Amino acid sequence: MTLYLLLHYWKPNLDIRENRTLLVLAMLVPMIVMVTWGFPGTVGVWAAAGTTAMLGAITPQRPTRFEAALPISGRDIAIARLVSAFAVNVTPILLATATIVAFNRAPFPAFELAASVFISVLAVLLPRLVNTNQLTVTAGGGVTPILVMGIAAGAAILRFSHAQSLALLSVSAVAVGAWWWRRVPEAFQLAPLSVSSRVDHSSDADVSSAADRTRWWHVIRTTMFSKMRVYNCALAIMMGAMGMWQLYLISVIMMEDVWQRARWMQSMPLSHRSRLWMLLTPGFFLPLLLTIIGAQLHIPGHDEFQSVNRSAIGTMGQESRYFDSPTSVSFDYWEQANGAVAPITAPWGETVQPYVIHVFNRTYYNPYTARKASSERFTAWQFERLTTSVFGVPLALKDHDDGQLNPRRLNAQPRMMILNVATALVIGFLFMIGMGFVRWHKSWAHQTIVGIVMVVFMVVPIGVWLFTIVAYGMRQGAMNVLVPLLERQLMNLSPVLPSNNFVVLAFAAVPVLAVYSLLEWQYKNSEMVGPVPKV
Amino acid sequence: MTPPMILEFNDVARSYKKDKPVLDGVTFSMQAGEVVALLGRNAAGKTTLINLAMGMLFPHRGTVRVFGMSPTEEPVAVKKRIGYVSEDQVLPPTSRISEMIAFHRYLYKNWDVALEKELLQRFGLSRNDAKIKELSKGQARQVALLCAVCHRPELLVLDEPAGGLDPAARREFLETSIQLLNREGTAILFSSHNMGDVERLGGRAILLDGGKVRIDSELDALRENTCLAVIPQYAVTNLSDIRNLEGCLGARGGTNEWHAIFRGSPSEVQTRLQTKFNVSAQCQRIPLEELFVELVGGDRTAALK
Repeated sequence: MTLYLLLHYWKPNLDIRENRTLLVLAMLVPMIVMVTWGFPGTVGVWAAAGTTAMLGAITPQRPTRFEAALPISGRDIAIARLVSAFAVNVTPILLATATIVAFNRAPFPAFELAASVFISVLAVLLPRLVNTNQLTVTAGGGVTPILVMGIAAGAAILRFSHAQSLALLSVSAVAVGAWWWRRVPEAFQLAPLSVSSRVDHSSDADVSSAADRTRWWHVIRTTMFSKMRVYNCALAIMMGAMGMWQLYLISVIMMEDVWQRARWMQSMPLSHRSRLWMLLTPGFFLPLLLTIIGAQLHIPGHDEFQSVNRSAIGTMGQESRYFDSPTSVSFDYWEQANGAVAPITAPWGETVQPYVIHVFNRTYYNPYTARKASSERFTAWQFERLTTSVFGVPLALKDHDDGQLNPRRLNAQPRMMILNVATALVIGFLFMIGMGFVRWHKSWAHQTIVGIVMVVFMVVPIGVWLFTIVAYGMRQGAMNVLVPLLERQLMNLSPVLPSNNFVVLAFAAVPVLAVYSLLEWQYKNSEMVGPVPKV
Repeated sequence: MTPPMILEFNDVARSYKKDKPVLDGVTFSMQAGEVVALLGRNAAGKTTLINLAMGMLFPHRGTVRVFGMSPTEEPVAVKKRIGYVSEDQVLPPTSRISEMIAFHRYLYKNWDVALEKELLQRFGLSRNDAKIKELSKGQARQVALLCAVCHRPELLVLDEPAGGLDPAARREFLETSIQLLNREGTAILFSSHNMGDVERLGGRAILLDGGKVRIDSELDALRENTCLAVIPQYAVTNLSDIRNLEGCLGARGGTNEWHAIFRGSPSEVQTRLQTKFNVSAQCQRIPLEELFVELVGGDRTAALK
């Protein structure tokens, strides 16, 4: 995904879908990460499946004139294309599995592998079901990832076991495959999609009268919101629920798509600010809003979203891989060690050596560690300490296990939300300024400086992010360290600020408005040049 | 009384790479009601010039004024008085024609609904509220033209507007532009590679070459007062001698002769060449397309050897 976005940004006219090698590479990264992560619960499976489904759905599927002209049946072409698409979808899974085996850190992930393959079947076939006569993806094809994600989310909410999930996926895949096979025609058509796919009954309407009834902003809506954005919105909610604010930055990178789509409006008598807000609303504010909504998700009886263990760092290499410690916690609650990490001692003398990880040459430890060998009393004591930090109140381990008590996390409450949103906006705006630097009209004469700025703003942050995922995620189970480090700073800042939330809001607004002003100034002085891409 | 200036370029330069200017010192102006054709080879800077006029690009040197205003400083006020159609203008593919019209009605308060209905009728789109992506290339261009002209702009800017259209659609498009607007005093600035279009629209031609304005002349004057001289190479060995001759607009090498475009009638040019080089050159008036090819076409580098 990241590679796709990077390539899309650096070479806007490069259609990655036309390049199978790049597509495989683009899929390889998330699949290795997801599978290597070890699929904590079902979330990992669905995240991997969602990525597979999304990329599967955009795989090129239209028959070429060469293919269509061959004296072979439609089913032969379909099978050839299908095998090719499967290779793209399944290869990363196999490679990721091989990576795990090579690292020898986990048992063979048979369930995850089978689930991914079945979901690939669904992802590859479902888009083709919409209009098999053309072997192509129509508008309905874009819904596929959402459908697959919906099935996945349903299974997760219903707490399906691995066996049940596998049964559901395999039955779905077989049914879909059979249905598709029966519908494949003898010959495919090359007629333009938009002309042949459907008859539009509204086309007989009087256009002027229809314009009388139409609101002006319909064009803005259709210009700014691509169907893929619906998928992004779902992802924003999910990531918000998991406390993964970094998705927000991905949304900002994806602004390039919105930027290009709005290019035709340059000749319109619209102010710079209006056009900037047209870009920011779908590409910037909407994902942020949905991330905030996701962060507030709290389903009684299902404590995954506000769980004390949300995005917890695994115990890979320090404990049995699948030991599910109740005091595992995300990286923002880990402490930095000064020198050797001392054992943690309970008031009654029981001690435990805390889990440690090494990030950026520094040692961090989980001050709430309770190991498999720890006593129940010790675990309960640590759990109370942990929940005091996470929720602001001490919770009994038993109540939490029963799902009776799962209050809202402190960092989901308004005060921390204000700080989080302000930080996300400042980082997002800065990122956008960096990306927009290349469009500043004075940049054209200084290509070297532009290159340096782009590296600083684009390559370095994304490179560091990828590095942390690979270096700390694969080796130490700490997938997400950058955002928690920032979150930790905000949590430290919060008590320093006045207790009134309105004052905090005013405090947070200052840097946001300052950076926004810079962005607006830059946008006013930016220009779109180069070939006009297809939208 | 002189009509007011609506477009002024004063020593405008613009580049995309350092020290490689696309436009370098372009100066010209345009009065209300004028029709001006921008000519030039690919990458001559026609689109850049138009984008500068639209405020979609910033000049690196010089000033651009549209209706006396800077199009980058006051873009809204300027664009409200301009209609714009370009070959690479990609309208939102999933929007319907009615939605595009509703949007433009909202933006332009002086939108002429009667003209909108007339054009829809004329283009055969009045009962076809299709999405942009469902339209043919020509129809999509017609929608763009409709959106560009129904607020009755004072300046219509067309960047290769008829590129890629078949001859009938091309003529329909251009006639609409001219008939509907120029008769009412709208100025038209358009770029085109098609000399037939240029001759049909008439008015004034500006030829861009090497980042500069090479020719700025009324079309009629250009046709009447220029001619092609074919000069044997044995009589003049150095091409620069021809280029330095008074009235020479450009010269290039042929197989065994030089081809040069001169200002003046064929007899005048013939006399001039006879006097200077003592050679009897063939001089004749040529069509606009030939003139264009002679001025900017051919392998001039080879000829300069």
